[in-house]
Amino acid sequence: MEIDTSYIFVQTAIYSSLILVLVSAVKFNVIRRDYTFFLFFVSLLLTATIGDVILRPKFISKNNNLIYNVYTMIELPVCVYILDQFHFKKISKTIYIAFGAIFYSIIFFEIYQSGISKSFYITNYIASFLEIAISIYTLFDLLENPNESLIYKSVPFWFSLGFLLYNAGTTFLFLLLDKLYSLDQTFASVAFFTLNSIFSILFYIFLAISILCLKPKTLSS
Amino acid sequence: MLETKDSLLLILFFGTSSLILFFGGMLLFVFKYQRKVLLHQQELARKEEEKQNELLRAVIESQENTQNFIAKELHDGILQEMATLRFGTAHISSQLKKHELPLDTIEQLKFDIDSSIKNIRQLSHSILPSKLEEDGLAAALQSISAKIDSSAIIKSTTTVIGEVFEQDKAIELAFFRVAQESVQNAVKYAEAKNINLILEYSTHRCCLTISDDGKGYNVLSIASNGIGLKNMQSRAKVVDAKIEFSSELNKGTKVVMEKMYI
Repeated sequence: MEIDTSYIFVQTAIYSSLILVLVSAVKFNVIRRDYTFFLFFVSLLLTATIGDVILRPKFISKNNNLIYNVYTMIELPVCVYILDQFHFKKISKTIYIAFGAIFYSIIFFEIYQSGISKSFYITNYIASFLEIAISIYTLFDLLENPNESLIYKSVPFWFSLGFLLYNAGTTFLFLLLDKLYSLDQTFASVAFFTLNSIFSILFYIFLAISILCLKPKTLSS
Repeated sequence: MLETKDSLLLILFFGTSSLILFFGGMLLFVFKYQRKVLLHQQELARKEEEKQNELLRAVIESQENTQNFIAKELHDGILQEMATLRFGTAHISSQLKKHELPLDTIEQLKFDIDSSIKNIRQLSHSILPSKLEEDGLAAALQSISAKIDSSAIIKSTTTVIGEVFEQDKAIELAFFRVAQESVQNAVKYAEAKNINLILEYSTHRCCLTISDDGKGYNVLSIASNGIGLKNMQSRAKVVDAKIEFSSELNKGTKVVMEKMYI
């Protein structure tokens, strides 16, 4: 597969992020009133996508894309915060805080040990593993303590499923990407653009479904 | 170099495939589990509905029994007495026409009217116990025991433990009806010699225990068919109290009704 072909996936992923804008617009009143953090998350995601489009040519042969790494560092705590908003158990709150704390501890330890460049490299796959763990915990917690009679009407269900699918598809890619770049830059770029874009599209779809599941917390006057 | 690239590709392929398979497995598990939970919930809802229907049937049957009892009392007792009074007044009228003084008939009439008043009062008290209204649950239960005790065939006691506190009238009536039903069962069917009522008050709790030394019964078989037990269950449920029945053949029966205030 040529690098140009993989750009088709990148372009599709960028355009498919518009689905989030669309569903956010549909649910704007509910999001604005009761779930402003969702608005923040979607804005963050779109900023990262647009930033990536602008900055990608500068980082075309490098793994440590600054925008994505900074985004990942913000994304995980935001994801943890969003899931926490739908879980009212004290134990869940503690576990979510623990996930965030583990993530930052590892990142700051790595910055201290190996410098900022290396720590950016590990950010993605550490976040991937933690997001998989958070998603599985959330899914099991939802089965144990459902906040909806049907699980597929629940926001955290689609949200964590989206994260689980995205990370299932990209964790090994992030883990091996640095080595792949050092062996074959073109192939690594194609693999990264293609896999990341495909799973990003799927992630946007799952996220869009979770936004559609949002219900007003308060009655409108 | 190529070998390293190939092995990296293999790791990437199998690693990603395994995680995606794991994702698929998780999804399948979640949906299967959800389906199982839904079926379980439906089954529970069905059983609860059945139970509610049974309780409703028991309530309706109990109301029918009460109405039949009142109708029977009115027809066989009070109506007959009214007919006698009507006959007495007709007799007085005919005596007066004959210029006779109906003193004996008036005395008899007075006696019959007193008897009717007594019967109407008894009927009224059996429908709504005045003792419960006026003096509260403990006194009403003591009056049940006193009534049974006065028969000299069955011995009955009511013991009140703890500091009596006032409860909602509906709750007291439920306790009283359960006591009435249990005592009635002990007298009518169990051939009990002793019936003991213990009313226990403690912080946030009121508990009534009715025990007898009668024939006892099989709780499971009676619980599914016995209207009386269902009636007691429905009375307890209405006031959000717990009720338990325990019985052994030839060893008596125990009914415990408990209301928590937490």
